[in-house]
Amino acid sequence: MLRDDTQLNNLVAGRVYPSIAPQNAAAPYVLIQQVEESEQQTQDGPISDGWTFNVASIAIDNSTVRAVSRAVKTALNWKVKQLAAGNKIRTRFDDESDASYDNDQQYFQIIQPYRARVTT
Amino acid sequence: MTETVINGTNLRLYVDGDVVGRATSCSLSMSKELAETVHKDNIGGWATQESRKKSFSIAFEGFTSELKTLNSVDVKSSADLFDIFNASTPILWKFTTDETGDTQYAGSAHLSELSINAAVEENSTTSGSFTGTGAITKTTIA
Repeated sequence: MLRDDTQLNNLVAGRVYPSIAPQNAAAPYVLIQQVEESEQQTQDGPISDGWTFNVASIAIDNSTVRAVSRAVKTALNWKVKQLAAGNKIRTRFDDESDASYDNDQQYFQIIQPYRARVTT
Repeated sequence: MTETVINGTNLRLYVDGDVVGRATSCSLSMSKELAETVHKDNIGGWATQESRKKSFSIAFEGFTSELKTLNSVDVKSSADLFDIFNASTPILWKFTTDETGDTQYAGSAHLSELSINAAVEENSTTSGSFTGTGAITKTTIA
């Protein structure tokens, strides 16, 4: 969904990475990390209660990191995506941590948790 | 026969032969009305009781599901439960683990309450309760 989003790609040029960015990846870029998969138990077995994942927007200046995180939110908040397996999922924005500066890496980072669940 | 405490997952409510699909809990509650008998010879002023009318109800909760088959077994979907609610005839129920040697409770009941609940971005739930009509029979599964 992020790679297909024009607004975001205008900012990060396709640099959307799962889990870890390649060494010396050019900023800005976006990292996606699945945090948790939830299930609920029934007498017939477990059913899905959705997934939680973090999206980290990373840039070398504060205004760019904010622009990237806004684009991520626009791309993912309350959006429905058809999966190859036939199910649809809806993603939604959950929260946001303020932009923090990493002295070691010398970049700004905004982490946004999202939730996704199967929908019809 | 179950040799340890029965796992609640295995004790299922069957409605007209099928389990309630995607159930998360079910319960069978029985009650008995008592009539206080007071007479001049009550020892030490303690009340005594006589048994009167007995009744029972069955409650269930689960997730709303349209599936009529789960794990290769026929189940009652939420829509099936509405059809039962909408009908005026009682259903046959049993409350059982279906394990040989275990006790099974069974009887007849009307679906007297049915709720389908839907909260934003949560799994929808279905719950309801049956009010018993007639007696409960207890058997050992052969």
